[in-house]
Amino acid sequence: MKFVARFLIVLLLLVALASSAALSLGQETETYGMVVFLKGSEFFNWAYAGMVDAAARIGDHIEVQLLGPAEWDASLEAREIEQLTARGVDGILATAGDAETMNASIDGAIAAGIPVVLFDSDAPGSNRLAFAGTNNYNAGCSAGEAVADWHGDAARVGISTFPGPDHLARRVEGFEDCLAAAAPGAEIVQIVNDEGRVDGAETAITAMLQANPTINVIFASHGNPGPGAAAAVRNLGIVGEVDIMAFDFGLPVLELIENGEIRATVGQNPYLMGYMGMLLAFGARHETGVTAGSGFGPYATLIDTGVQILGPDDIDPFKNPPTFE
Amino acid sequence: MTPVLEIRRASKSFGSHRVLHDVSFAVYAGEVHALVGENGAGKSTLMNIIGGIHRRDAGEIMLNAEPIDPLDPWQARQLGISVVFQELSLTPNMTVAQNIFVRREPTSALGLIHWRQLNDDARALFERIGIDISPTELVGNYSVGIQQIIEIAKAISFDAKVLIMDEPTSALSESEVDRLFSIIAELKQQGVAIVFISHKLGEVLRIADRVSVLRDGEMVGVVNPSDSNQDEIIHMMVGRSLGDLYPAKGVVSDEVLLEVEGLSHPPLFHDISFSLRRGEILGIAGLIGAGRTEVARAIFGADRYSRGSVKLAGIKLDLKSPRQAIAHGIVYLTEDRKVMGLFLSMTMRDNIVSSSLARFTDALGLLKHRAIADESLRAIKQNDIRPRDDLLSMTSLSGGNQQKSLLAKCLSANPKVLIADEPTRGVDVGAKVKIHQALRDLANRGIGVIVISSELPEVLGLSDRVVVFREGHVSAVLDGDNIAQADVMRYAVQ
Amino acid sequence: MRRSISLFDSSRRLRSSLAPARLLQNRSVILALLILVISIALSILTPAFLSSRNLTFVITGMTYDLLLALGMTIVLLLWGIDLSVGSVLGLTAVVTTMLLQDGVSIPLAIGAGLGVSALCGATNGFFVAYLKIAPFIVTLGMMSVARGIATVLTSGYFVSGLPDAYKAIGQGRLFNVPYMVYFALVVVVILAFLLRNWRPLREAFYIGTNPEAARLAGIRVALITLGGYVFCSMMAGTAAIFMTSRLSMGFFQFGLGAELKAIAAAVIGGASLRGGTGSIFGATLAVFLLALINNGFVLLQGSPNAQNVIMGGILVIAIMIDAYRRRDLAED
Repeated sequence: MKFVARFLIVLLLLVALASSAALSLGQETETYGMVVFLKGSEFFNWAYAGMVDAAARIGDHIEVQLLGPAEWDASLEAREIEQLTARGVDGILATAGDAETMNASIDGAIAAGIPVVLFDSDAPGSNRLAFAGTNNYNAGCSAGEAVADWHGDAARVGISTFPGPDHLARRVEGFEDCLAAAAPGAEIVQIVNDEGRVDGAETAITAMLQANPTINVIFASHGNPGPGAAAAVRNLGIVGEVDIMAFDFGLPVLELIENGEIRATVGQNPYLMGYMGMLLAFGARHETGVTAGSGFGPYATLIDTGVQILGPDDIDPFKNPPTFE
Repeated sequence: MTPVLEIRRASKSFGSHRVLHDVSFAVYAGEVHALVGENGAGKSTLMNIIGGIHRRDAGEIMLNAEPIDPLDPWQARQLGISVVFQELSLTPNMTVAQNIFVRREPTSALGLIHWRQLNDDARALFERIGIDISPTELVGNYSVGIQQIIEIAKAISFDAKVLIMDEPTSALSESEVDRLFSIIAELKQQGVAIVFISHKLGEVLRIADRVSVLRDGEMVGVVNPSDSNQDEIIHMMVGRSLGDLYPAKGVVSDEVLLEVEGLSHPPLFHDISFSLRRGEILGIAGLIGAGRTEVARAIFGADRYSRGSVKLAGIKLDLKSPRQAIAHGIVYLTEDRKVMGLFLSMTMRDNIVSSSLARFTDALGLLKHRAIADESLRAIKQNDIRPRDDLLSMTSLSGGNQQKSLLAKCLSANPKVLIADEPTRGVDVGAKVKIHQALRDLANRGIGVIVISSELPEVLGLSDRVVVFREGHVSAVLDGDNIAQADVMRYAVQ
Repeated sequence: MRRSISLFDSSRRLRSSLAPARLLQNRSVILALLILVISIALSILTPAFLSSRNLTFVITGMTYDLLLALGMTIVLLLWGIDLSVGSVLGLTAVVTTMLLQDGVSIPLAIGAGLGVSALCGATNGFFVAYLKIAPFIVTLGMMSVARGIATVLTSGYFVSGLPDAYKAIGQGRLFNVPYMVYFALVVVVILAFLLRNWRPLREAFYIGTNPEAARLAGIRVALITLGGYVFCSMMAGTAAIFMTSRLSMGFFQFGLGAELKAIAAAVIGGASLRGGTGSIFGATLAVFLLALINNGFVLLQGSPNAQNVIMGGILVIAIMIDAYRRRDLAED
């Protein structure tokens, strides 16, 4: 009897679960918006693709939208968030073009009871519920470990970066730490200031390579110095003697990987940022009651979406980024 | 009786150049003391020492028998010494009242400015002077002449014991001069000591109780106007006689060169008609604000006009810019040489050829440097500009030589018609005579010359005919050798 | 008494200007001496410096800055300022490379790119010269408009896949020196000659010194001012052609911040923010000096942070010298 009773209870629970699932098919539509500071950009299209897939995974009743200015403008982005708040959407994914500019609109949405999850660029000063993006220290670390793999203790590295942005400093820090850990004999020979520009990187790296002929690896801490480093190596006629570790998968970087001038690049995972962001926002919208708090625990959460070191064999999927209207 | 202000044996040099040597000078309460001398005689330096702009090298300044040492103009004003400089110190983008009471605005307990009281104070000040100027108008909307009066009002507003005025009448018309003189008489009554610096000896003799004459940085003497005359003072100033101030008149042809018909641009001027003949000097007289400069600028293409026509040698012109005017041979000598006439930081050579570069350009637009250098040296010689070094910066020339350079610039453009607006403003007697002679020489060469001047004796002494402007209209055209000053005044004010 | 340099030098003056005391008053001479001192110091401190290869790269790397500084010198001479050069560079880069990507022929794409830059300059010039709006405001507006268009056109994508023939413009060499270096030097020499001898540029000195007096002197103030802005923008456009060709890509962020460098170099080279002065050789030497300092910094392993501080410091000193010189003039 006991067993039957138990069986019935389980069955009942299963029926309830199934019917709730069936009900969900006819459920009211839910709308989630993704707000970016440069709509149409390759990177954010990848993120949106992740969001679209996650929404489809949850159910047909989830609708998603990609919003944001076509030019780089954080204030327009803040206005989009305010409009989504006014419309009363069910959740917002946003990347902060400028944290200071956007804190108020993010807090406004939270105050209106709309879950806001940030991805890629965080706004830590706001009340956002969670952040899904690259942990820059870890990203630099992966690059450092890869370089240690390439050259071991013989690695002599020049780094191209520019002073100011915190996330670049973290990448360089992670690179240095993990290279030192994996290859104690390796050496960071010099760090140069590329002023954030491709042509600035070319000039600075050309000079650096002349002053330090021992350098056999260049690490680019952001998207622009990679092609600049390739041009510098070309300038000096030492193609093949210096390995370049670029950052991100912009088209010129992919082309240079394909023809062998850049050995690899640190690929972030914007798709996963959008995917995780969507799940987090949905989770916050539908609290289970199992745990207290925001739907995914009592604390705001930071999720590292990780990086992958991309070589010539890995880049094919990135040549045709998803596009959206 | 002790003087209010006394300078004892003051000396001052700039580098190796001695500008004041052992100069003593005293002014008493209720006295109008004129200080005269050619440009470069040291008048301005003396005044700058008193006003706290320069430091003397030697000597003493006594105020009511107490030695003082003003470090800057503000301090001098606090001591009761107010200077009205020839260069206006007003800010065009602020109102009249704001300019007058800058840095001493009446404030409430919170430090906020009492605007109404500020404007009332300014209004009271103007009532005392007897002139109708709106305290709330922007200074920039007033003419240079009115701005000069505002500047004087500002100086008076400091309750000055000593009021020093440097060429206060240079930009004023006759009636404004009369008004200023009545203000001076009023201040004199109130016991203010007034130092009056001027080139206009007629005015000096009219207003001054005593006249001190400076020459080459030294005090030549003090005379009493009642037992002296203009010739004696000029002689003291220049150390020689000058001869007649005005050149002999020439022969005017009957051929009309420039004809202005019904020129109008309300509200500035209405229905202006006059003609200028070849070889003629046509004077334009009138009060400041009568529209003389406005008409001149319209003829020159610098400003637009709404109706009427300008004909040159019978052909109607439609000038849209000064460039076109100059190309047709109409050249304008501006009344404001520092702001609109000269390129002060550039050399004399650059200035002299600035209106005539077209003459020194080849087919490719390239300049002929050699010809330019020759032209500037020729112009310097012709106009007797000193020093004869055309690579000097314009700023290092005296006012008279700057004005001669401005004239040289206009002449270099080979004018058929020259419109000279206040051609002798702020220059010394010697330069004045030379400029007058140069204008007559031009006329004798068949050029038509229009002279606009607020100095009636100059207009009458120089001109073959005189056009009188009043409130934007032509009120009379006077002909003949003996036009009376009183007649012109009558047409100018009635 | 202040003797100055006339716009119309004769041989008489040229001789007197060679006297040592006067020589030291000449900005270009001071810059040349500074360059010499820094060069000697660098060649002692690091063997890599004095190689012809290094010097070639220093000069190659400064070409873009040089073109911008030349244009900026003309605009500053006219008592203007152009904050939009960096953005115009970015826009030209994007337009030219996108057209090339779409298969438009090389001359047509370059022509269209330069046309766009000229249009930006003409817009700046029209608002400044004819509508009398402050150059700072006008070009600040153009700065954000041009950058905005470049961003919208590319959505932040890099533009790549340029034809090899196009790459030859920036990557091709003669005697191991890139074509664009020769081009820039020719521009310097021609511009210096024209600034001395060509009437419209001579008149620019008058305009910058006193625009109203220049108008009354019969100088075409508005037209020449317009021309100055068009020239400045087209220099930025030319730099964009070389940059995209040399790097084989277009990017909307090209030229970001370039305006400040250009203004700094022009002012160090002898131009004034108060108009009326400017020197082509001075600006050229100033760009070279800044490039040398940057190069020396890398060669001597200086920290990137200190590099920014030093470049900022040099700019501040240059502007202080300019302000001091102006005050000096006003006191006369």
